[in-house]
Amino acid sequence: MKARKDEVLEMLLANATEMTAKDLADRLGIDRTNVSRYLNELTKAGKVKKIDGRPVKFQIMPNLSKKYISFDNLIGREDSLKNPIQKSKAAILYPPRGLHTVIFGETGTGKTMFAECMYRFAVEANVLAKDAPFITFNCADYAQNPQLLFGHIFGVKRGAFTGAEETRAGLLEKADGGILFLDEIHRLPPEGQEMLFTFIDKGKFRSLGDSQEKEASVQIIGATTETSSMFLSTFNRRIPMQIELPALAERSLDERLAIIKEFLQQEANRLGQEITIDKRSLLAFLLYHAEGNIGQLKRDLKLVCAKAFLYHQTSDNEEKLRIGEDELPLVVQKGLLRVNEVQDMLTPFLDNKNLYLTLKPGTQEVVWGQDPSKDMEVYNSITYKLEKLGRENLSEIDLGELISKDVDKYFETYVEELSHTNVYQEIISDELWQLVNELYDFAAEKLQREYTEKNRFAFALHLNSTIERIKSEQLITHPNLNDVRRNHSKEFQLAIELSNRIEEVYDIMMPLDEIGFITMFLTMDAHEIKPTMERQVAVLVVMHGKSTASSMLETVQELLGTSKGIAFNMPLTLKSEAMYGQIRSYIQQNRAELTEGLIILTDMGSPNNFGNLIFHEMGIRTRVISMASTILVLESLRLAIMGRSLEEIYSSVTSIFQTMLHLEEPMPKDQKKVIIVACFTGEGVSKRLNEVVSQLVNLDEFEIIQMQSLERESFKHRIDQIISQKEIVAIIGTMELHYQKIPFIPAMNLFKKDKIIEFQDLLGSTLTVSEMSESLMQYFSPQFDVKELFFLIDDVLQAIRKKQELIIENTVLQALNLHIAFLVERIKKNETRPPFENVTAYHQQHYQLFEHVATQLAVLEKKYAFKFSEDDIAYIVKTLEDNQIELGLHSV
Amino acid sequence: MKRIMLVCAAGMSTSLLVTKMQKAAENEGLETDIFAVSATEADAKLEDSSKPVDVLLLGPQVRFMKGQFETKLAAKGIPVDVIDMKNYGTMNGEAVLKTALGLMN
Repeated sequence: MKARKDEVLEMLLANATEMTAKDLADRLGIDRTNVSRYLNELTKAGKVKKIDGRPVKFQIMPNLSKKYISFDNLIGREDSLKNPIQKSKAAILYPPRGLHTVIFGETGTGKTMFAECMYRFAVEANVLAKDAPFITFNCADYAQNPQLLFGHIFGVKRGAFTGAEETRAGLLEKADGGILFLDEIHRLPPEGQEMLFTFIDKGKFRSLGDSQEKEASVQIIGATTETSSMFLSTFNRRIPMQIELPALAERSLDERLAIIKEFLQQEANRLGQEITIDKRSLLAFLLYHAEGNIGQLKRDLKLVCAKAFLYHQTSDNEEKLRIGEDELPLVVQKGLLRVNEVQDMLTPFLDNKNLYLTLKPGTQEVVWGQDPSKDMEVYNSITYKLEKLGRENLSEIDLGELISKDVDKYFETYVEELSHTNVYQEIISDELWQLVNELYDFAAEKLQREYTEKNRFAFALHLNSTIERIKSEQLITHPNLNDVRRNHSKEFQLAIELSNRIEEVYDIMMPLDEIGFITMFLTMDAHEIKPTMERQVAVLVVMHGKSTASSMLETVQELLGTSKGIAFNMPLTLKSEAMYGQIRSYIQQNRAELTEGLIILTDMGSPNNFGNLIFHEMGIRTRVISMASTILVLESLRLAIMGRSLEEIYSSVTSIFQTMLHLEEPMPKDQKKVIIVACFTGEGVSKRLNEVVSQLVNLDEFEIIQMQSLERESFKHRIDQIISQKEIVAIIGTMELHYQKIPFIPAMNLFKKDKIIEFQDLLGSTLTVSEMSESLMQYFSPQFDVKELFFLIDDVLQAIRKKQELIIENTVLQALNLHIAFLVERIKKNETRPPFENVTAYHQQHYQLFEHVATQLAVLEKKYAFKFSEDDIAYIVKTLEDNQIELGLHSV
Repeated sequence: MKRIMLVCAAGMSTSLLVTKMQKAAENEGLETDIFAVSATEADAKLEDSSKPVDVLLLGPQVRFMKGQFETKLAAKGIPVDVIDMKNYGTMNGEAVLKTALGLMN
């Protein structure tokens, strides 16, 4: 009899859909009353779910129909994840025991889940035994205590250190014969990395305090969000297989829809409730910017499901859980703003008029063992609170809080990871960054002011060099300490308090001048960061004669339809000091409007010297144009109204002047282009920036000038001076410095690979691809469209550079372009090419880059119908590898 | 007789540059020995005392080796420089020859 009951259960298991007792009876050939009895027993045992209605239907309890996640049911397995899956299968199957692997991906892209899939695949493929261990560990867990961390991974021998009272096996031992998954592997301190690499190279390791080597057969899978060059260069060299998971934004809308559906399906199953989501909500979920990737998408979906569940519980006539636009968190709603942006991509979704997704419970789902969002706690808490508070007190339930508890674990790591983006780790020690945050939090509260991430980063950079300076006993003077003290007494007081804390942590003495600099950082607020676009350069017309200046200006104002500009008439009886006095008092009264500088147009004589006087006495940048005529006044005022900068107006007006007078050509500009690196002091941070930039650019082509930016006016004045002789292509600084429309690059961008690449693009090159191809045309066989060939190669190289985030000096890529072009020519002519020494070994050592380059080069192979040899590719890979710039920067 | 050695990765494009430099030298009536080697062959050629090299030029794609060669050749007094990309990219043999001769003085 018992067997019959099992048969019923099995039938239900096999058909995840709802079935009536009659369906089952018919199919199994058992009497219907018996079936009903079994079903009731199974319902009581919690194995089957009864769905009320007519006729009553039964269904297997969702949690019984679980199937483990594997590559075969991952969303995107044929698209965005195809390549990662192929690579990871290769890593697993690689004889004899698989390749150690590191998985890259932003937070929330599914690295842990992917590792679990790899493990399942290894078991399925019989590479691992059925009961092989799959051990996971997050290196961030004990990151503050390296000893504990190493002990945990490698084991501890009794007596290795105080407190090590017994010999403990480490994770490596526990994972013997299986896989050890190390999450956030970048948090492993350098010594730990070394120990791990030793294990990777030799398969042997030592427990803490143990002199004996142990062996274990373990495949290591690491995961990291880290993309900094320092990390990559160490890990890429040692871990043979690298897999990159795409960010959510890089995945197609179809995949994203499938993810949303799958998750809602899971929720429907868990709740045993039908869930519907309307079109607009679905669109919002499809389009919003989820910084935390799939992890965040799931969290936000869970939040709306919980809300819907709450309404469902409190209203009597709702049959299903409805998700509507109003319930969406703001960040999700913002997704709707993008509808127009991506209209084309959405067409398949929009066409469907009644897009009303309904997910019924009971369909088979895939689970992922470590999924932090899988439990039911949030729903249980809602039910519990409802019972306790009663429906009247609905508003007291803080859904947000419930949710955050439920997915606490998820969110904590998410926030943690965000605050640890690669920038900080590379240049600023954890200790310093923590201190800076502590100081700024304190300051923010004291001053009731908000400081952005950029402020904090700038300060951290500054403090880094301050500490270095003090330690090496280099003193620096603050140019106007007393002003700072007087004008910002509140911030100054606070700076003293903060300095005490810094002194305590780093055991140093802070000189008063350094405290002055710290004060400057505290006075910095968001307003200063915005470029003041509305402000214009002021135009002053100063002429001899009772009314020459005013009538000239009036004419111009009338022509331009403006009231801007100011005239100073200088009757012959008026002494020039008195004239200067008038101008000075005008400037003092209108100082606030004159921040963009002054153009003074004069006819002759002493007013020509006013410019220097004004700059030195009042710190306002001034340009004087003498022998002015109506047309010069007209041109100056016209450009000023258009918001042009002082220097632009000056050079444009003087050039008119020159053509009028046929004056000699201006001095030829220096050949080298200039990059300005600036910080408050002009020494610490800018010196460092100088070091970085020097590695990034060709110094035959660019000159780097280090400057201080504390005194904005003199900074601008200095820029004016440089610009008259040289071309400034970029300003890089810790503070936003928008001036003369010169591209500004925040200092932190030089510590992010993708931004460095953008920076290099901005600088461009002296030799363009088309120039190069034109001058070389004659050396190629006539059947080649040489220009097209060069451009194609350039595309290939740029794609490799960007995808692989290779920081390479521009001329190297150009030379490589040339190399490949001649290589193609030789191949087509069937000429011999030099062999590459030990090519197979080289290929294996640089497997990842090699494969990528080969894939990209396929574009050329297809276009010109030939094949590159392994040796050809090896030369290209080697050039890329050898020329990579390492920006290892170490700090206090 | 001046011996000029060019170093590059695989010699795919440098051989053309060598030809152009030789032609330029001929036009000037200069007696020179100009040749290109790959990065791996460079050391052996530099050791060959029967054919002493007077100047070493690096292709832009091996510019990262400049520091290495400089330290190695400082004692011998052999100048080292990277070929300007503009001259390299346009195969301007004349200009590169001029640079090389300039370095020797």
